[in-house]
Amino acid sequence: MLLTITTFLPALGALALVLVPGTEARQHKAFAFVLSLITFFVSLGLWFGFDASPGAPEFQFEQFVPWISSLGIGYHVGLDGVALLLVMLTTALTPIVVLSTWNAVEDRVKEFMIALLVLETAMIGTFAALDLVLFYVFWELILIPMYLLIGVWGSQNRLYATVKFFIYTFAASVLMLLAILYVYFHDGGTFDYVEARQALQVSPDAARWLFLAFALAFAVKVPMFPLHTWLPDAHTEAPTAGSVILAGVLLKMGTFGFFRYAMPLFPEAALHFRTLIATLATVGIIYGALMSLVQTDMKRLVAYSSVSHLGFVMLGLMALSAEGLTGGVYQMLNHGVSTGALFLLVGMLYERRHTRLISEYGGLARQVPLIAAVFVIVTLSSVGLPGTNGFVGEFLILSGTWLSRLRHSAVFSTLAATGVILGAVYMLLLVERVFFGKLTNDHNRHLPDLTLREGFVLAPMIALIVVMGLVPQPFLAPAKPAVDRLVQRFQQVEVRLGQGPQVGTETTAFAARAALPGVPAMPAPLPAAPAHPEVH
Amino acid sequence: MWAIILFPLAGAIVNGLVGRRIGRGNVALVAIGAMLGALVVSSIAFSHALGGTTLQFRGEPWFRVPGPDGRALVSITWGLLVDRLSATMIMVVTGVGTLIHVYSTSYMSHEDDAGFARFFTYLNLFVAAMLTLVLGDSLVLTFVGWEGVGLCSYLLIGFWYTDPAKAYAGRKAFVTNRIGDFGFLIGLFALFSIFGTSNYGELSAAARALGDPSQIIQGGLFAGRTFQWAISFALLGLFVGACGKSAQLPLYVWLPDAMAGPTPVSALIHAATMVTAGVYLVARNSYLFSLAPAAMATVTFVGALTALFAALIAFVQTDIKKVLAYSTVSQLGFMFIGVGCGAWWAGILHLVTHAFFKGCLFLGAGSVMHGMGDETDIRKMGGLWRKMPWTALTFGIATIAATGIVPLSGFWSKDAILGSALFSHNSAWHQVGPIAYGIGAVAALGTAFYMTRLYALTFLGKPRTHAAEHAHESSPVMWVPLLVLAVAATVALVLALPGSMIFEHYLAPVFQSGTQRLLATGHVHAGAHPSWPYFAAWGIAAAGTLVAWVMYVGPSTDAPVTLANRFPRVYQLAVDKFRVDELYAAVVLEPVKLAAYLLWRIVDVFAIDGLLVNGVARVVSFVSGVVRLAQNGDVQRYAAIMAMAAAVILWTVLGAGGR
Repeated sequence: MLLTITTFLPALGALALVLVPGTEARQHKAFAFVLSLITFFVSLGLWFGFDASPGAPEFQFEQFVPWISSLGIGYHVGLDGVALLLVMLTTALTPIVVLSTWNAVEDRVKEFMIALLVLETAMIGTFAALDLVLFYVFWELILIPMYLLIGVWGSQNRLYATVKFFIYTFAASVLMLLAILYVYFHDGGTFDYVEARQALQVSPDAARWLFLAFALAFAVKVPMFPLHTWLPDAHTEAPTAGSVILAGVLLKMGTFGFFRYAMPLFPEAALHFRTLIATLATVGIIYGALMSLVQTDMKRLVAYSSVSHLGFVMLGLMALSAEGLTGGVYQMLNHGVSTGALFLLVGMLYERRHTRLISEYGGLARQVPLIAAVFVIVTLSSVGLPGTNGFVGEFLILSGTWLSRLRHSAVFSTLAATGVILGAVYMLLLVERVFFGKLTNDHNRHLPDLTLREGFVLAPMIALIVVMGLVPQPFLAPAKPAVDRLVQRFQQVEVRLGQGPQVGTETTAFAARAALPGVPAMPAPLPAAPAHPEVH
Repeated sequence: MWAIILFPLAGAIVNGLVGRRIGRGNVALVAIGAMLGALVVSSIAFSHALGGTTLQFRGEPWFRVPGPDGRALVSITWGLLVDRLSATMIMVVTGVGTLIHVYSTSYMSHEDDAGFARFFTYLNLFVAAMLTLVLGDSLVLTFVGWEGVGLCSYLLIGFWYTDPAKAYAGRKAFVTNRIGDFGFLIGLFALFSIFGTSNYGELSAAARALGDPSQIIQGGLFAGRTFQWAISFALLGLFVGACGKSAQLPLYVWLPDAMAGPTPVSALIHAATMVTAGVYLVARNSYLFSLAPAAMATVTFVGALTALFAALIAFVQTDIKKVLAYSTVSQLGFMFIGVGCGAWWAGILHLVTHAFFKGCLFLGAGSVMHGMGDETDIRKMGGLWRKMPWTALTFGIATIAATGIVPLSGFWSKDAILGSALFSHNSAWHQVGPIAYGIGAVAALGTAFYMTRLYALTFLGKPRTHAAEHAHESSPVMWVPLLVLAVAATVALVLALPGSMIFEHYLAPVFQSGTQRLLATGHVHAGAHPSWPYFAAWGIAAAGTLVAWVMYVGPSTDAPVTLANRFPRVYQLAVDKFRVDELYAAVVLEPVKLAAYLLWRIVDVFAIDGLLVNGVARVVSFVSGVVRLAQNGDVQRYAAIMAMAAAVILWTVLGAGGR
């Protein structure tokens, strides 16, 4: 019930907004902000109520209401740990996004807020759905408000971008719908995800085609190379709020789709296409980074960096080791926080100067020291500096890939690690061009620094960057049961296929811990104070 | 033990958040107080280490990802380790660090309040990161500090960010270091694959338990290779990291540019502490290196080449800080010769003495710049010893120490390295030790030459410019730290007097398992070496000093110009630092940029968007355009088409029937 409330609270709010007269822009903003904040607090109940212990049920807060029972379509929702993390990301980001639009959106505020709230419901629903048709409905529902956000409130070239975004994602999703229908007609007539996953019996060939149909829909959303070209356009033209939601949550629907649907439903096919997807992910990491290197538009640069970052996520998923999968999940959150924050910052600069061209800036650090400081911190998170969230994610993905049984895992990991170098190059280049050097452009002379409201927008992001970097365990723990189940599912398949182990981590060459009788097992923790050191 | 790190970290946080408002006196108080706190706690830890105990702190888990079977390869804790090696390092870091903090309060006094607070925030943050690097009990924690010091280095090199060249130098340092960090990560992952841990204690125990390194590995990533091969691979990865951080060939290019930072930063980060992290890393993993002679040979050889190469560039540089920077690169090369040939204690000893004398030299250079109005060109100095007696005195002592003239500390540590290199016997490459001795001896000659040249041009002779005539001595806040460092550089000679071998015995427990393995394989020999290399090295240093004296002070002062005129190309090439920066730009940077640009235009814009996405759209609209022709509502055209179609059908039917 709590999950359903969380899901539909924003939509109810949107309905209520329809009734409010359209002239009071400030009221609409305040209403949307308060409502999204309430949604966040309600969702905290999910966070604290979730049981991540090994014996706990896979899906929690489950609810089932028959919907179209003659077709076996039900309103079936529930959360595993990964979906929980993404729901929390959504509910946490939305109030921040509403707050960030305070001055940016002046035009048709009411419609804007309605679109944003409907979008939130659709996003939560996508993560919560446990019925294939329900999932598809929420999945497609997202397109409408997003289409409007870019098409109505976007910048100059918005129509091209929004049509491109729509066609790209819609065309691919239709294939997924066909695959869902195939599953239904082939499998005793159920659209229920949990049942379908249990009972699905399709031939290996069919499974491959079905996997590809799902994978294509998800790969467009991620977006994976070479299906990524809608993203830079959509990001560049979208208003700040649209970009933040797009980068923060929407792209994760693709990677989540792989994790929840494509991989567990068709594990043999996933193993079959594993190397291909890992290759595309690695190409995406390097390619996206190279693209970022030559962009002249800030938003386009950050958009291409998303291609690179999401490549890391996909590589982690394809490693099929606990470390890689967990790292992939963690990196989804990281990317939501870091890239979301980057888009917020770019949006703040845009509000001040009304240009996204890097060459229009330069030497801002003396003028807007606080923005510069926050920008540098977010940059460090984006390049994965230890102490920030980015490091934990990238380290888990790279080590998880290296240690996994993916063929040529070391090569994949090494190539992906070059993305870490390139990441530092393009992000620091951006910082240098925007904030360092002499302030030469006269338009930049009187820019105001962070306002209090903007401080409130950015503070939670910075806090998350640091906390998730230093104390990652609370964010890793919920994902563990889901990750373990997926690994075990693949292990069963691997036994069935009988081609030797393919998932999990490789055994080490030399069992350091087992072979050491002389080494004491875990000496007792010493007090932090050095006054009483223990002799070892 | 975390208190050692938390003191400077807390200082950084306080100064970072409220530093610009509390006034510079309080900023300095907070920063120096934090350093003193760290120094005191470090001293306690050091005294324990001196007493022969190893302090271990098993920290809270940071992140840990077990698989479904409960086995966790990636399990990182905040654990610290103080043995004699890391105790030595933290004493250097906090000791030299405190002095440089004191010095900086005067040196940075021209900054505005915000800049002053920012400087001390970064400086404290750097110390915290450096201590994490040294104290971390696993490669991952060392990596945390490793990247942390890289960040602070970036921020401090680009401290005066309004100058584009300085901001660029900062980014260059960070990116070059990132290339090294990439190698570090690969090496770290490889060690995970081999041993399943990154904890130093577990790694060293495993290395000890590993009987014969030439066994074939059965399973895992390195299946089919020998342990020796796999460990060499991992260590070469780590060494790439060390080359980045410690500015060795081919990744040294960032360090000379790093002199763009404030001079105390050059002293602390780019001479005394951070750049020696690579040497520390190699020494820390001595037990692994002893299993991989090929990796040791690489370390030795790269160190030797760097020592010579940097010394050659230092010959002709005219910027006081650039000379010192290349000298640092060269001296780091010596340290790598030491740790590469199995004389780990000698490498670390040179690290310590170098921290003293090079820190002193850099701070002296800062004092000179302070007195000369930020002039760095040594051709415009001269005769400064009259104006700045304290600076000249301490700089002189440090120069002698750096040159390697008896009896100051540099001689003992450098010659311990060269002597050990000569008598080492690497089984992967037998001659590498003697070769390194040869190259190192020439580099030592070079060191003596350029250091004497530097001193002579700066302090001796007559003032060559107006500014040099009116130079003034800096305040005691600046020269007292100089004096302390100069004294330390002198006293450190006690550590390495032949016969007593205090330092070697002191560090022996740390390197015990590595040394034993090397003794067993005949890599090094027990017992004392013959003493003639010491005399040879001393002679070399004296010769270098003498030549430089003759050329820059004594009888033939026109010799440098004559030489430069006689070999203009060689001279110009050396002045241009052998054009390595230009080479990298042409071979790596420009091609990458061009490739990125071409990929963007060709793959993204032309192929995917142009041909596929918009191409499909165009095909659709073209087809629909054609189809539309048939449906334009023109009845006459419909009739015409009907008639033509009827005719075709008729013809087909009749033609078929007629046959």
